[in-house]
Amino acid sequence: MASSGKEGEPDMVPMLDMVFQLITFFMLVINFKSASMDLELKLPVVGSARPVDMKGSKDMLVLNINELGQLKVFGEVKEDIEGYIANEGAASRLAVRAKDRDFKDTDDLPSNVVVRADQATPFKLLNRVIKACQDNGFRNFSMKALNKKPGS
Amino acid sequence: MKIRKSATTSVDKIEQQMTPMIDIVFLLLIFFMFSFKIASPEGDFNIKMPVASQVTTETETPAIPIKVRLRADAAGNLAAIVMNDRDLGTDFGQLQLQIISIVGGDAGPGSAADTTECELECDYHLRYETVIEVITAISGYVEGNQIVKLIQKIRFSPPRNSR
Repeated sequence: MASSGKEGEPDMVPMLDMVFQLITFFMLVINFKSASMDLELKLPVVGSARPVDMKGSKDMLVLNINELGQLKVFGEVKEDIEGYIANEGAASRLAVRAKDRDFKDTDDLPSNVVVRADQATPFKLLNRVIKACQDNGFRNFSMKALNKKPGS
Repeated sequence: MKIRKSATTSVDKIEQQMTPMIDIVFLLLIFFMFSFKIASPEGDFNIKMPVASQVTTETETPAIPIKVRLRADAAGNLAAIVMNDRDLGTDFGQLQLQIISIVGGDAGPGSAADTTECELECDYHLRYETVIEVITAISGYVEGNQIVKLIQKIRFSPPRNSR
């Protein structure tokens, strides 16, 4: 039986085209901010009549609070809630002072605290986190919620 | 002058090594696929929370004119909304109407909506869901495609136990 002597090489070009398209797609849709969000939380769903104000430019401190009142940051439960928030406040204060030398310790921090709490979280547990933030100079809060779809 | 063709140059085809590139490309693809999370778009309420002990001078905004008390039942659900000693039942719409009647259509810096503060006094076990519903009613509403802002300064007083 005669053989041609040539090796049968698969054509890689279509596969590479497809793979590059997939990479481009994932690169465009990926959002590294979502790493700080605990997606297991059931956020409250409120009516369409609520104001939605998306401002992502400020320095943010994302706090995930589950229904047991535990604070989760990047998937890790922080036992010492007050201590963690105090550290974040100190870091934020240092960052602000690097830009503005007149910034005093008693001034309000410009950072935004993003509160992502489970809909079943009792208020007393939520209030503990908010109070710790207020004690450390945070004044701007963003309470996260999902939008109820019209007609649902 | 006759130029001789080199025997080695013209015939050989230089083949690029594709394997390392494909390896890296697949690694990148796997990385992006695993770090991709499908999350619903979230909205937020931007509120300013002054501390309760903050001292205000006479020239500043007057003391809190709006005090909303939120009572909860044993399950943590809303039992009653009391605004400035007036029972509004569990109707968020009624609460919003009351807020609109106080703040009015006044908007912009220095307006009633900008300066008025609201204090929320909630029961210990009241669910966060209800707190957000109340903040929704207090902080604004959507008219067409326009967001009408109401009160932006909301303060929480220490939780109470009404049981």
